Amino acid sequence: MLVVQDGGLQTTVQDYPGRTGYWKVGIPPSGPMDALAFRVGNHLVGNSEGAAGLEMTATGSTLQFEGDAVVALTGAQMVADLDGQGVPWWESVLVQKGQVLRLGPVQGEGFRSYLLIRGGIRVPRYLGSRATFLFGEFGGYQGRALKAGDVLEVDDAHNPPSVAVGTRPPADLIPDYTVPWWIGAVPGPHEAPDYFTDEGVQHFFSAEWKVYHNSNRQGYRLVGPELEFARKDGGDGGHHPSNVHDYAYAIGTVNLSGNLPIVLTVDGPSLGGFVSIATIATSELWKIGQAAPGHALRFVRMTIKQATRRLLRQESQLAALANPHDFTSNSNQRN
Amino acid sequence: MGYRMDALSDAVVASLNATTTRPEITYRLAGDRHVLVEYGPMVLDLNLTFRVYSLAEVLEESVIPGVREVAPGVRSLLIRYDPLEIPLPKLIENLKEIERRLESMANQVVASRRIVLPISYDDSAVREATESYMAHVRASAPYLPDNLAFVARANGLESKDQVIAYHQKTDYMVLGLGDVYLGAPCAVGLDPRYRLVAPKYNPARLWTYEGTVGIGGSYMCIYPMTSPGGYQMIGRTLKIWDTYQTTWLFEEAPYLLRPFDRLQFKAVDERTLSRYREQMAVGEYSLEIEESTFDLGQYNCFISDIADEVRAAKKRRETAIGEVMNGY
Repeated sequence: MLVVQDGGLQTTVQDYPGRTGYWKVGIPPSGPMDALAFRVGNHLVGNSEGAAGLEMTATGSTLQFEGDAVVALTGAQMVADLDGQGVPWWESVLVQKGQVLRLGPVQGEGFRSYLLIRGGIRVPRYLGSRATFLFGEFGGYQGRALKAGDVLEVDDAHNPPSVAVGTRPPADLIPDYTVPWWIGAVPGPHEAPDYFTDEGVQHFFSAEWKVYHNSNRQGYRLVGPELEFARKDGGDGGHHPSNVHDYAYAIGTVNLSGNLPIVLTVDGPSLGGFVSIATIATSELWKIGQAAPGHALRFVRMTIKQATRRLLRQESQLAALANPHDFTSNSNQRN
Repeated sequence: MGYRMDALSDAVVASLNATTTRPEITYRLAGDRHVLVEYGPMVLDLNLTFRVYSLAEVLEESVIPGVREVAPGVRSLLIRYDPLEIPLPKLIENLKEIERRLESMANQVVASRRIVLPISYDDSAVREATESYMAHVRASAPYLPDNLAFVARANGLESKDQVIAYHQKTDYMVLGLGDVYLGAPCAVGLDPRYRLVAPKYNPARLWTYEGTVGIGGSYMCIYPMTSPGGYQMIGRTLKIWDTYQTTWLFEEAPYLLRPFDRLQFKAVDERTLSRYREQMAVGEYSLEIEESTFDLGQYNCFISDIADEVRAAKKRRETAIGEVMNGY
């Protein structure tokens, strides 16, 4: 059991891959904004992929442990203190009953940190998932971010196999967080020459974009140059050249609402009538989760083949981490 | 097999020409795990929407390995797949094969419920949201202070009363859900003579009451929960989303409406609507739902019979919209 002494800026219960299967009725998957860090963390504490953990944003929570626990902190490094001692990141750690874990502001680059705990956080499932959808006020812990006084149950019924404390993932699963973020994206679904001019698409991929302050789990607004549309208006779809007839968006797509690009993220809308110039590669999507308001980012044009190979590489690395035998040999290779 | 098959651009990976029984088909990439299948030219045409749902049905019932989830739009279907389980060229081949087997939509008949929704036009919930917008976001705009009056101007109609009459003269068919979020219908007036169109707010409202009925572009929407929004607000109706499915209307799902539902609006005063909403909250409101069908062939005949009137209505709207857009 965990007692929340301080909720932090925005800490939510999430699971991966979240509430999938309801996109056609407008229920987003939610889940971690940086699924890579979240999934690595779950593997470090010996959990299965579906176990729920905490996503903390910019400034973390203070949690009192009412029982012994094995936890892992991943993602953006925060100022961390466990009863006066420092806490390592990207490593499974033993926390003893009665200890208090204090997580402060993010140090260095990055925006979101993850706390995974052996067994996983136990909250009721809503439509099959424990992920919090803040806008919809459901899932997770009462459909909201944590605050002081909340009590989180740990699911020890699953009793996952014990994991050695101090295990770390291979170095290539611990990314460097550096700004500007270079984010691989595949052009489309709406590209040149139909919807944008060649210059418009080139500008999208050559510009440095800035994350607007009004960005959250639903979408990341980007500030940068105006992109040149190929059409004068939206024809039958509307008055502005960014308008088309309503269609379903992909998570990670860069949508143009008027002239303003918005990256639609895990809590994003499913259906709408604005064009999308490019879509972030699945293996690169975690970078948006680590981009903070004010950060600069650039898009790198990727082919579908490159994006798929990178996804294969990332999934293979994660699969190796989940397999204890491979995991041990990977750990030994490190350092 | 290469990834850029008969590629037209990096985003368009394949296409099929139109035949006598099907529209042209464009396969667009939406990243590395989604494909957007797009039908026909960029027009609002129920024949295209019906095809979208036919493809969705085949994909939901078939066993193409790696296909995870589909999401219909007005003239396109988004397909989520696992590229590590089915490579894109293979998926496209499968999709093309399905198209060869799908029949023409022209005479399709689908299940389509008729639902009567009470609506309070010009409701105080609408006025309150408008006033808040004027106080905190934008004090003056062509659509302020009265969205309903603006919709009248944008459609070349004489008065708010005429908008209210037009809104009740046609059924609205639900073409998609989730516009925006949680089962909100993307619906369109079936009789194009009475269709209402309106440019959206710019910038959007910070909040809109749950149950608000709005018009944006050619579409009508009902807000499933109190939220930001950009549609022109014309009235308020019932609750269409119930997270915890607390009454019989939400027995099967937390959302009330389904694709192809036909919504018929019936004007009531604000007090009556409040009473209905209270009754609904405790499961005591008897919503009028009639199980029925919709015959696309008949509808196509109807549309061609009224073609001249539709053209006139479209011209009226285009002239009107040109005038109101000057103020944007």
